[in-house]
Amino acid sequence: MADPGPVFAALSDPTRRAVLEAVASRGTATATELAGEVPVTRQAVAKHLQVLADAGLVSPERAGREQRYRLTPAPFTEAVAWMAEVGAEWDRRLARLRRAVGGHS
Amino acid sequence: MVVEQVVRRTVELEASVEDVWALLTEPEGLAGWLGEEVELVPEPGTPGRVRPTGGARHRLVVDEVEPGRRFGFTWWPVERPTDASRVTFTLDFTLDADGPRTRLTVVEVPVVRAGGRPCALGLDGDVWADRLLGLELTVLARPCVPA
Repeated sequence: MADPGPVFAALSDPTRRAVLEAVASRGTATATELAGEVPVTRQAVAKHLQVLADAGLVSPERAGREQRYRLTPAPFTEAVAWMAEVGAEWDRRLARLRRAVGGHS
Repeated sequence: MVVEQVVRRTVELEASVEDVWALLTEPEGLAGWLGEEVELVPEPGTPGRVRPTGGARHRLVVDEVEPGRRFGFTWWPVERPTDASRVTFTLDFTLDADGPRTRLTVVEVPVVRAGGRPCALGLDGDVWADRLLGLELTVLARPCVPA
């Protein structure tokens, strides 16, 4: 399973999440288009989009003088799968711990 | 700052804090529920290892030890050292008519590497599970526009 760290790190910033949701609502978007939807400058939006791209959450393509970003949702699925898998492991471990406590106390 | 939980579980155990602490921090105790081949000394900075039941062999480093209260370590599969995550146990003593109980909470968060140094995610806001699932629903409900 892919390392979920970069995805969680990219989504740790509330403005970045807002940028991603804005891309999601549009399907594709440029930094200029998104600057009107989130309360930060176009330059800040562009930086957030680059971080999201580095995490694989959006993919850039050239659109004239700008980059147009498209959602690439696969890392979401991988991160959610990591949470489900690790959570299930802890459920099993804690069930064993509960049994161990029964014989311990 | 509120520390985020990526994976978080809480259980109530019918045992004293002392008994639960031993099960979390002593190799013999851990061998009864976490895994096999346990090597662990509950002192910060100390390396160890464990093979979780049904899983791959892991290395670990103890991060924090607050006797009877908190115990944490960072661990990673031997074969995939970049897939590190931080595990923290928190214990709370409770008492009811049946005797002492311990509320145990375990949190596991991925570790990201910042400037070459691993650091666990410490984040403000909502719980990750809700946040990520909400975002996923937003994203997946709107399929990517064809190129």
